[in-house]
Order: sequence, then C-alpha cells, then structure tokens
Amino acid sequence: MKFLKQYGVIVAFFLLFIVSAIMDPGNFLRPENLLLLVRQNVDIGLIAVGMTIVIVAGGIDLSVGALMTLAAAVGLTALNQQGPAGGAAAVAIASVVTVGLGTVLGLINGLLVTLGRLAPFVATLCGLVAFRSLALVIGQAGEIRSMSPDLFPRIANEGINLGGNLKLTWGMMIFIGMAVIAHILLERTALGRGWVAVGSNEKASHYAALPVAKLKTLSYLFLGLCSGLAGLIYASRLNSVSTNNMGTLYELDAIAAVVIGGASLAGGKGKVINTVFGVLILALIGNMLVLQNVDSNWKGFVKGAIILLAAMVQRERKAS
Amino acid sequence: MVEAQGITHRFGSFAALTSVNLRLQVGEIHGLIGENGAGKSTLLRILSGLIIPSEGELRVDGLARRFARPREASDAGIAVVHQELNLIPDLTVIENISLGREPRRAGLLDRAAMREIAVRALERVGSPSDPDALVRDLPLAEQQLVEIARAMSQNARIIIFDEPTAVLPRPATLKLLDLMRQLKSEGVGIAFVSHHLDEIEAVCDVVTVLRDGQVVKEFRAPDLAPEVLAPAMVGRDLEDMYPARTDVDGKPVAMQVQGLSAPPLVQGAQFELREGEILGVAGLVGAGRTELLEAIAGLRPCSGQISLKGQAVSGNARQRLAQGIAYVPEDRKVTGLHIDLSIEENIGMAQLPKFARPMLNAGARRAATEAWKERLDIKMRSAEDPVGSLSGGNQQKVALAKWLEGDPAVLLLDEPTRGVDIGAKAEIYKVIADLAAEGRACVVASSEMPELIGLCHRILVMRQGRIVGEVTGTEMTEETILNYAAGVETGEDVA
Repeated sequence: MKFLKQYGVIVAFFLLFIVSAIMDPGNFLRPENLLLLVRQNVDIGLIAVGMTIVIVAGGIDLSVGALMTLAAAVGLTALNQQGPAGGAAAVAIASVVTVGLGTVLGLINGLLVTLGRLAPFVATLCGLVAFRSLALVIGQAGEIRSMSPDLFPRIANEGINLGGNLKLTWGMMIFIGMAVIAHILLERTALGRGWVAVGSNEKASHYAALPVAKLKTLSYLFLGLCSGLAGLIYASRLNSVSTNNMGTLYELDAIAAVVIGGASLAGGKGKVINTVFGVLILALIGNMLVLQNVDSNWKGFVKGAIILLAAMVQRERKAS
Repeated sequence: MVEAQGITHRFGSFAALTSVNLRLQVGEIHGLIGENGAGKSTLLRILSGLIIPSEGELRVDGLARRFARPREASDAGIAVVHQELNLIPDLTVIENISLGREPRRAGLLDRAAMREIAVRALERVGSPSDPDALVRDLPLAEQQLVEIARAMSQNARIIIFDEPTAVLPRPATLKLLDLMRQLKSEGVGIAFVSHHLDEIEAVCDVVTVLRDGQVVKEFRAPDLAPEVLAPAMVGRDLEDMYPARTDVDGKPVAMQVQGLSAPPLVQGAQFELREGEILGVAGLVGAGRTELLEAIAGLRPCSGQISLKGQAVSGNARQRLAQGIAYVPEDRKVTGLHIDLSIEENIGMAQLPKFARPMLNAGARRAATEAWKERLDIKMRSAEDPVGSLSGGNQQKVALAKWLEGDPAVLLLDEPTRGVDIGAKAEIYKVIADLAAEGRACVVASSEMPELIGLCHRILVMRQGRIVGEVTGTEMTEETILNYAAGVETGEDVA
C-alpha cells in the first residue's frame, strides 16, 4: 500500500504499457519503437528532471523552453563561427557554450527569485518572453543551421550500438545520467534534504539555519543546466535550431510530467524517478495515438485528461 | 442547550472518544480539560460540525441534530473560537467578521452594514484594532480578539473557546475572562478549553475532565482548585511541577551580551549568563522577548557585542549555531519544525552537514533519533511518521532534540511549553533543568509567569524593547514582574 502511494505512477505506466502492447502488439513492442519513444523525449525528460528539483524546493520555472532555445541558438552560432565543416573543437565549444549559457540563465532565474525577491512565476515568466525574444533576434526569427554536417548531429543520433538498428544514443545516456544524479542529489545529500526542507516550509528552514537563498538559487541553476543539455541534444537531433518554435510549451509539458509524477506544486514533495515515469506516460500516450492513427489534434485533449486524472488521484490520496 | 450523548468516535481502529456525555447549558461556563490527546479537540470538532461522530447523538434544545458541516452548527447557534486562528490574513477585520454571512443589498455587499456589525462586535470584546486593517498586519493577540468578535457577531447561544488564552498576554487574558463572565450573564453558554487551570478555576461553573477519550469526572464550582483538577487530568499525582534549581553562584560566565540592539524591538540589551543557569525573559506581548532571542541567535540584524566563554560571537544564524548558540522558536508549526516532514528528518534538519557529508547517512540519523527518543522520552511509533502526528509536548521534544543535536552551549527557548499539556510541561521543565545541570546555559522566554518563577534562577523583564528589570530569589513574584512589564502599579489577580 505504501509502495503504491509512493510509486503509483510507475504502476500506472506499466498498466498503460500493457494496454498499448495489447492494442498494437506488432508495432508498439518493436524495440525500435520503444527506443524512439525515449529518444524523442530526452529533451523534455531532462527539463522535467530539473523541474522536479525546482518544484520540490518550492519554486516553478516557466522560462525553460525559451531558455533552451536561446542557449542552443547561441551555441550553434558559436559553432558556425569556428568555420565550415566544424570539427571536434568547434563541436566542443558549441556544447560548452550551450550548456554553460543554460546554467548561467538558470542562475539568473535563481538570483531574481532570491536576491530580487520576485515570485518565481513572475521572474521566470519574464524569462519565458525575454529569452525567446533574444533567440529570435539571434536567429532573425528563423532557423539557424549547423555547419557541422557530420559531427554535431552525432550527440543526439549516435551512441552505443545495441545490435541491429538499436542504439543507445549519447543523448539518452546524458538523460539517464542526469536523472540518476538528480535522484541521488535529492534523496541522499544535504543539498537535496535542504531543497525538501525549503519547499516544505521556508520559514522553518530559515530558523533551522539552512542557507535558504543559496538552496533556492541552486535549484534553478540545476534546472538551467538540465535545460542547456536539453537544448544541446535538441539542436543536435535536428542539426539546427528553429528559433520560433523550438521548445515552445516545453515548460508546461515538463510541469505536467512532474505533476503526473505526484510532486506537490506547493513544494516539499516529489521524486525524480516518478517524474521520469511521468515523462514516459506522456510519451507513451503520444505514441499510442500515432499508432492508432488518431487525428493528432486530439493529442492535447488526451494529455489534459491524463494530467487531470493524475491530479485527482493524488487529491483523493491526500484526503484519506 | 447543547447535549452530546454517548459520543464515540474512531479514527481507523483508534477510539479518540468513547461514550462521552456532555451538557452545555446557556448561562453557564463549562470548562473542558484534559491532556493533549485526551479527546478534547475531537469533541470540539464534533460539536462544531467538522466531523460526524461514529456513534452517539447531538441534541440542541432537546432535538437530535446531525451537523454535516460547520455552517449547520453555527446556524444552530454554536460558534467556535478556534485555537488555530481561522482568519483570512489578506482580508480586513471587517471582512473577516462578516465572512460567509455578509449582509447584502441588491446582491452586492452592504459595506455600511458590515462595518456596523464589525464595530459593534469589536467593541464588545474590547478590541483596539482598526476595523479597516488587514488581519495580516495585526499582532497575534489582536487577531485572536477579532476571531472572538466574529463568534460574537453570529449571535451564538453557545460559544466554544478552544484555548483562547494560549496566545494572549496577561492583561488581555484577564479581559477575556471578564468578557466570558459578561457573556454568561447575558445568557450565553460557554465551553472553555484551557491548559491554564487557574483560569478554569476563575471562571467555570462546571468542569468536565477528559482522559484517553473518556469523561473521567465532572466537577462543580467551588470545587475547582488546580490541585483537585490536575490529578484527575493526568490520572496520577503530579510530582512537583518544577525540578530543583542547581546552585550557579561562582560558575563561569557562559555568555555575555552587551549593548545589543535590533531596532525597534530590542534596544541596548545587556546581561550575563552563567553556565548551568536558567535565565527567564518576561514581558507582555510585543515587549521584544522573541526579538531579543532572535537577535542573539543571529536571525535578525543587530548591533552590539555577544561573547561566548570569552570568544566574540558574530555572523549569521548558521555560524552562530556552529559556535554554540541554538534558538528553539516558539511556533512549532511554522518556524520550529517542518510539520509535514518525518520526525527523523526534523531531528537532522539543523545539523544537515553532520548527517550528510556529502551523502546522507540515514543510519546515523536514525540512531540519533532513537537516542533522543530514549533521552527525552519522546512518545512516537516510528521515526518516519510526520512530526505533525505527535502531540504538542512530543513535538516540542523533537524541536529540542533538533537543536540539541548540535550540542549548543547556550540554548535560547521561546515559549517552550506553549500548547503543551500539564504532564508534558513537567517533563519539559525537567529536560531544561537537566540540560542546565550539564552546564548548558538556558534562556527561557515565556508569557507564563508561574513557569518562569518555578523554573528560572533569575528573570529579566522587558518592556518596549528594553530590559527594565531583573528579579531573583524571593522577588520573583507575578506582581513584581507585572509591575516592571506594564510599567504601572497593578495588583490585579485572576480571581
């Protein structure tokens, strides 16, 4: 019973998995399909993992979709400035710039919330519009194409061969690695316990002499890092950045995954592993609709219904 | 008249109340006492329509009633002044008083009528508050009066007071007791829950004692002396409430505070504290007791010098905690504990670096929790339970353990027994005395003068941010302290 309470989302995922498998065993269960499902959601997954930390620490970040676009746009620009047919050095520079800028922008969000004493919703709403605008300026409202035809796309598209057509891409490994790191940080370190403490009761944390502002700032910084990585992988997958539609509504998908995973938007409660399964549930539903040839306009409706259902299940749990 | 007959209520397999009978008469003040966990809150929640009892019935004026929600109870003439204030901080006093019963004209709020209702109710309770002020901006004591005014404005025939005096300063408490007598003479029936047996004796006509969910006895005036009530409540004879004081003359100075100011509520505080000494800080609400302790602990900006065993102390709260100054806040639910988190999580909270460097050592934290459970006799089932599931007294012990875990030389305790029942109070006094006997210096700020007089070696009295008096030995009487605290000659007593 306790297990179900804490990890109900995992059970829900496997139920959905079985339903999907029964509905279309031929296509759904193909290893290629399953891997693709993860691979296409690595960027959302990374952001959702970071978002879990921010939400557990009592915050929210609406800027992530725009943030990853800006970071990637600057990163690709840096790549292209290294000359045509960008080699290893150019790709390394682009990666560091993208991830580094993402982290710095996350830090700025954190400082606005702590030093600037702004409500997280407001501070990051400004980021949502401002970061996007900067990205549009850089990309002249269009696409920035990478001039590295071969090396840069490998980050998201190549990896360890598992035999046949199957690949564990570098992007997937980064996602899994960050999820593991976030999980360990949250559950097993003073930093993570501090995040829970601040999200659960900021005042009591202050009285317990915890470094409240530092903890909050670090949560946004970590999410910025995750978003930077997501931007890098996204840009690499398409080998370009489309400044006007990359990452739009990612913030809401990420928050949805966290909510499906059972975290409390009031802070103090949430698990990284549950968020990962929240991402997988959203991915599974998208995949199921495609395989069943459902009009893609229905996707949002189904997503909304799932989030609602998850929220209602958790509400009932609270009352008991 | 409200009657509860054969009320039994179970939470799961746990019976919070068993066959309880209670008669609340109009024109009578009915005391309801019992230790925390005795079932008072459950009974009050049933009377006020917050929960429906598993068995038994409520009768109002002889008719069986079933309250499915609080509104039905208040429509039946039962109003509750809750211990946890039920006011909306962001609404004005006027809006709070009419909340949910706003007079309307043509479908819109009738502001003039609301104001009239509020002003009249505030006047009846003697509240000094500006009716247009936001409740958020009022001190706790004034918020309490607003809450009472709201109950008054509903023309209730029975008003249930759930520990209304716990947050009130002494003069306001005396006023409230007068108010209760006045209401009684106007034909209102009152149920009065309090941990202060002197207040119970002073105003009640009847007292029902609850223990372990059952009515153990009913007492009638004038048979209500605390010595009579306390044993019935606790179910055993109370040993001496206060432990013996150790001798601290000639002990080395543990902490020295010089010219400490944190305007506007702490001005030029100056005192010394010996090892093993328990120093009391008295004063009315708003005198600056909490602020003084917070300033010493580094929780608010201040000027002046503090030294610990000759070493100057400085820095933020984190650094001062490391240097040996620990502050246990008064409000366990908001500042003292993470009420939703587990007991062990709370005990580790002020010493995270100790239990996580960098990886969390859950085993060490569990061991520390078990050690404190033994040492402070914390009654709990599992270290993983939320600390909010414990009784007030046990929560307070967890809060003590949380700050003792850092082995502080000086312990600053703010209202260490607020909302704690009498049995647990005695235990907490003993813990404090034991800590002092180990050589720790303790500062206890409290609004309960008997507690300061019984426990402390010496008492500082604050008024308007200044330390205006110091009493020791036989001078430590409520009267002397009150004189200093109020700055006037007052000789009034509860009765």
